[in-house]
Amino acid sequence: MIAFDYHAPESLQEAVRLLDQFAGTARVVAGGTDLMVTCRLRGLGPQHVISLRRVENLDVVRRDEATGRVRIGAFATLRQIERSPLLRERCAGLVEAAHKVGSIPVRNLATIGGNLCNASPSAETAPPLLAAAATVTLTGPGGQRAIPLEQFFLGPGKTALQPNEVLTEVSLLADGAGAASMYERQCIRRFKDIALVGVGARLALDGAGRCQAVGLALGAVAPTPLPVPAAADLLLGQQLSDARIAEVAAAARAAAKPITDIRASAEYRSAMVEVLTIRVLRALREALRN
Amino acid sequence: MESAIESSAQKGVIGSRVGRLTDGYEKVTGVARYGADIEHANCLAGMVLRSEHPHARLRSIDTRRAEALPGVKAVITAADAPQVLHGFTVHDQTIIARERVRYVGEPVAAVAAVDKATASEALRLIRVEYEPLPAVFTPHDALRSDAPLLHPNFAAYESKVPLNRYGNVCCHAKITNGEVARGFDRSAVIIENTFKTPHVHFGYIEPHAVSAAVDGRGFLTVWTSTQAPFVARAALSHTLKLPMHQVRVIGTAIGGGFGGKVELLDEPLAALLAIKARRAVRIEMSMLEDFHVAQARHASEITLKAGISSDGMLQAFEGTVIMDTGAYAGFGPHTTSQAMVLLGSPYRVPHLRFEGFAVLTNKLNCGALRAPGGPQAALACESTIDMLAEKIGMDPFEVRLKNAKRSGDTTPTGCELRAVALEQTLRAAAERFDWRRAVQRPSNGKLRGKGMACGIWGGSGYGAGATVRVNEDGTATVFTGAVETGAGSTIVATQIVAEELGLGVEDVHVVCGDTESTPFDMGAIGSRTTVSTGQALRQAAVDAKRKILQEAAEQLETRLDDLELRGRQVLVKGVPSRAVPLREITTTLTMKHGGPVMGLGACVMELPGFDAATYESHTLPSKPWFTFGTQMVEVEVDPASGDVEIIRFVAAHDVGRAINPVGIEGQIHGAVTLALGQAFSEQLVFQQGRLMNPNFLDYRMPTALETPHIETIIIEAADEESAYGVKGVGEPPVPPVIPAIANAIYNATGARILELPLSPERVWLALQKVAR
Ligand SMILES: Cc1cc2nc3c(=O)[nH]c(=O)nc-3n(C[C@H](O)[C@H](O)[C@H](O)COP(=O)(O)OP(=O)(O)OC[C@H]3O[C@@H](n4cnc5c(N)ncnc54)[C@H](O)[C@@H]3O)c2cc1C
Repeated sequence: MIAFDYHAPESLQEAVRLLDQFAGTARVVAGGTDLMVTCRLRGLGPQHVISLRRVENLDVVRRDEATGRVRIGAFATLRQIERSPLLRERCAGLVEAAHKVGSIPVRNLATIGGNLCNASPSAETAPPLLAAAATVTLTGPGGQRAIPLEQFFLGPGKTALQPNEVLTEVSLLADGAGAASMYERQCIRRFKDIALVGVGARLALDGAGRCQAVGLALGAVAPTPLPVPAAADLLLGQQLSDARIAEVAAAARAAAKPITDIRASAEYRSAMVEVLTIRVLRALREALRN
Repeated sequence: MESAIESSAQKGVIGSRVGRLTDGYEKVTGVARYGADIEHANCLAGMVLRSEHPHARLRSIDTRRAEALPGVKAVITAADAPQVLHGFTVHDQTIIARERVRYVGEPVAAVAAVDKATASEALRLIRVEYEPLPAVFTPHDALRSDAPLLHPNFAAYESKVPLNRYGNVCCHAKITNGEVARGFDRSAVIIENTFKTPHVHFGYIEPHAVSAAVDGRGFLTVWTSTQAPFVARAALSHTLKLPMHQVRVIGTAIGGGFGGKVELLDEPLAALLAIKARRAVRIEMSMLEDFHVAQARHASEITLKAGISSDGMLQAFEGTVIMDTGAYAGFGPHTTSQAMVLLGSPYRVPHLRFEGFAVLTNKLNCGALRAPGGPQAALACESTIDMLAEKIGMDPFEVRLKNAKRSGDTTPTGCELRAVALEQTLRAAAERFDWRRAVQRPSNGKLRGKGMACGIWGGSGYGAGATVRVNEDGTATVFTGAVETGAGSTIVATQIVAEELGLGVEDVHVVCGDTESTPFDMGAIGSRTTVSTGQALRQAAVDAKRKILQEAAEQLETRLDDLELRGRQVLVKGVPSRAVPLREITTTLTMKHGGPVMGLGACVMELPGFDAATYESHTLPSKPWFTFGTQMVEVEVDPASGDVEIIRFVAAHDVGRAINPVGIEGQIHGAVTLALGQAFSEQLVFQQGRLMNPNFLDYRMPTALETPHIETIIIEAADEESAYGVKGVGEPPVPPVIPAIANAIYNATGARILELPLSPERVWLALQKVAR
C-alpha cells in the first residue's frame, strides 16, 4: 500500500518552501510515471508528495532569440515535446528520444524533468540533450542556479539536485543553419521497451562540410548517461568520411562502460554503441547534405 | 480484405461471419464483469502470505499478532485446511504449504480483513520460521544422483496414470516404434542437435482473481475467472472435503486464460477464509504475485537425432525430451508425453525412439500453456527437417511433402489419424506465399530469408453436456458448462443452435459456466469447446427440434419427415402455404404440456485405438482428433544489431469445418502472436529460484507495433467423427511459428539458432559465429 500526504501548491516559491520544510521526506511528482512505479515496486515511498500541476508556465517551450538556444520548461510532457513544431524543427534528436519513450498514454503524463531527475542510465532524453550541450536550471529557496547537464547526473537515481530544489528548465543548442541532431537506440522488443543502448549526436558543419561542433552521448552503458567528448572531438575540423565515422564509433565504444544484466550482456552493449554511433552519424551526414 | 461481419442469415448460420453478439458489446463498453469485479455485501479483502524461499522446511508459523489486529476477520494456515493432496495427474500438492515450501511464492498463510491495508499489515505480522533446504533449479542439477529431493518419496503419491518415478523425476516416459538402429543404417545423413526453450508466462492481462461466500447452511459459492468451472468445483470439493452439491462455481468474464486458469490457484484459500470468517472474501493477485505463482510454460531441452536417406525419405528419429516442471508434477507428465508424440507425428518416420523426463525443480509450477509441449517439440522437429533437407540438397518444402502424414497413418503410439490435410495446408501455404520465388535481397545491408514449418496438434476430449430450452415465443436459451474465455465459444454455440432450430443468432441466448445451472463441461481447454461442446449443443438442439416437430406433425396432421424448421417457422416441405410460426408450436407445447421444451445433448469424443506396446509411463497415447497446419514466413535480419523483422506471415490451418471464419481468423492471429512473443522476447529469468523479471517491463510480450499482418488460409477437411466435421483451432497454430522463424533466420543469415528466445542479442551472437 502506498500512502503519503499530497500537496499541490499554487506557486513555485511555495513548492520550494514545502520541499525545504519536509527536506528528505518529500518528493516532487510530475507525471508520476517513474515515481509511482518505484513506490509500488519498493513498497515504500516519500511521506510527502508535492505536485506542481497548479503552478503555471513550467511547461513552456520557446526559442531564446538572443542565444539561439531552445528552452523547455521541466514540466513539459514528452507528448508535448514530440508534437511541438518548434522542437520538431530545432531539436530533432530530442523529439526522436521523447517519441520513443513508452506509449502515448505514458508520454501524455511523463515529463522531461521527470525523465532527467529519475536519473536512469537509460533515460531516453539524456543522450540527445547531452549531445546538444544542455544545461539545467535548478530552483531552490536561495534562487536559481544553472549547471551543465553532465554535472547533473551523479549515478543511477542520483542527481545534483538538493532535497529542496526543483528542476525548472532545460536549455539546449538548436538545429538549423548547418546543424542537426539525432537519436537512436537498441532494445530487445522493437517498440515500447527500455534502451539497451542509446546514442544521441548533434553535428554542426561549416560551409565546406567540415565538422565545426560535435556532441555525442551514450545511454545505458555507464552508471549515468555518458557524454563521450573524446570520441566526438575526433570529428572536429574533419569531413564526415566513412573511415572517420568508424574511428569515432570505435572511440565511443572504448569510452562506454557497460555492464551485463538480465537485459543484455556488456559485450552486446559495447558492440551496439559502435553500430548505433555509425548509424546516427551517417544519418546526420545524410540529413545535412540536404 | 476479408469480408465484413455478415448479418445473421436465416439459413446457413454455420459458416457465416457472425460477429460477437454474445460477449462483444459488454467487453468493449466495459460492462463485462471479470474476476475482481464481482461485488458482495461486506466483502473482506483476502491476501496471501507467500514463501520467500525456494526450498525450506516450515518450522513454525505464528499468526497470533495478525489475528489480534483490529479489522482482521480470519487467518488461515495449513492447520485450517483438510489434509488432502491434489494435482492434475499426480496428487503431490496441498492447497497451502504444509511442513515445506518448494518454490518462491508458494502460499504459506492467508488473511481476510476489512480492507487491503489491514490485510497487508496482518501479513506483515505473521511470523514464519523457515529452515532453508538445499534446492535445485535446473533439471540438469535435479537429475544428479546426489541432488536434494523436493519430495522425499515422490513415488508414494497417488497417480491417475502409472508413471515411472524416482528421485526428482515425476515421469520417465518412453516410446519405441520400430528399430532406430535399422533406420540410422539406412540413412545417408544423420544429425543430432539439442534445442532449449525457457519458461514462459501465460501473459493474460487479467491477474487471477476470485471471491468466495458461504450461505447460512455453509454451502459455498466461488466466483472465479476460470476456464473450467467444473474442474474447479471438483478440485474444491476434493480439497475442502465438501460434497459437490454444496459447492457452486461461477465462471466470470476472463481477461485471457491460455491454459493458465484451469487448475486451482487461490480459489481454495478464498473459500477457507470465507468459511472461517463467515463473510464474502475476495482475493485479487497483483500482476507481481501472478507472475510468481500462476504457472508457466515448461522450459525444455530436447535432443533429437535424425536420419534421412538421399532420396529424401526420413528414416529414424531418436530423442530425449526433458521438461522442467517446477515444484510439483502439475502438467509435467502430460507436456512431456505430448511433446514426445508431437516430435514423431507430422511425418512418416519408420523408426522412432523417444525418452521423456518431467523433472521437478524449486520453481513455480508449470501448466498447460496454449499447446503445451507443442512449440518445444516443433522447434526441434521442424529445425531438424530443414537441416536434413539442406544436407541432402533438397528443398525443405519437398522433404515435408514427401514425408507428410496422410489419412490412415498413425502417431508414434499407434493412434490412427483421420482426415489428415497436412499436404493440403503445405500446398495452400506454398501457393499463397509463392514459396518458389527467390527472396529479394534488400539494398540496405539487411538480410532477408524465408522459412517454413508444419505442425500437428491433438485436441482434448472429455465430457460435455448441453441443454437447449425453447421458450414460448420460439427463442432459445442454451445452457452449457463451457465458459467464454474470449475465444468465441458462445457465439459458436449460438450459431449451432440457431442453425438446427432455424433461428437467427439474435434469437439464441447462452447461459454458461455456472456449475449450478448448466450441465457438466470439462472447460475451455485443449482446443475442445467447438468440437466437444459443439457436438453436445447440436444434439441438444436436435433433441428440442424433434419435440417441436412432433407437436407440429400432430397439429398439422403431417408426417414428421415432411417438416422442417427454418426462418422461425415450421415448414411443410413443398407446401409453403402451410407454414406455421415456430412461436405457435412452442407456445402450445409450453401451455398445453406445461413445458419446458428442452433438448438434451452430451458428447465424449471417442479416443481412437492405439498401440500399448509402443509406450511406457506415458499419459497421452491417444487423443480424439488431430489437425495439421503449415506456416511460411519471410524475415529481414539486421546483421549489425540482430534485429529481426517479419515481412510476411502466412498460416494455413485445417479446421475441419469453419463454423465462424471470423473467429477462426482471430484464433490464428492470436495463436501466432502468442508464439511470436515466445520466439523473440518472452522468457522468465530465474536466479537461484527467484524470478528476476516479474513484470511486463522486463517480461516482453509483443505489442501491436511488432505484430505483423498474419495472412490466414482456412482448410476444411471434415472429420466425420465430429459435429459438422469441425476440428479445434485454438492451439494448433502455436507450434509451427517459432521453427518457421528460426528456419527463416537461418535462410537469411546462415546462423542456425537452437535456443530461445531469438532476441536481437542472440541472433547477433550467432551471426558473429557465422562470420568467424
Ligand atoms: C510503461 C512505461 C514505459 C516507459 N518507457 C520509458 C522509456 O522508453 N524510456 C525512458 O527513458 N523512460 C521510460 N519510462 C519512464 C518514465 O516514463 C520517464 O522517465 C518519464 O519521463 C518520467 O517523468 P515523470 O514526469 O512521470 O516523472 P515522475 O515519476 O513524476 O518523477 C520521477 C522522479 O523525478 C523527480 N522529479 C520529477 N520532476 C521533477 C522536477 N521538476 N524537479 C525535481 N524532481 C523532479 C520525482 O521526485 C521522481 O523522483 C517509462 C515508464 C512507464 C511507466
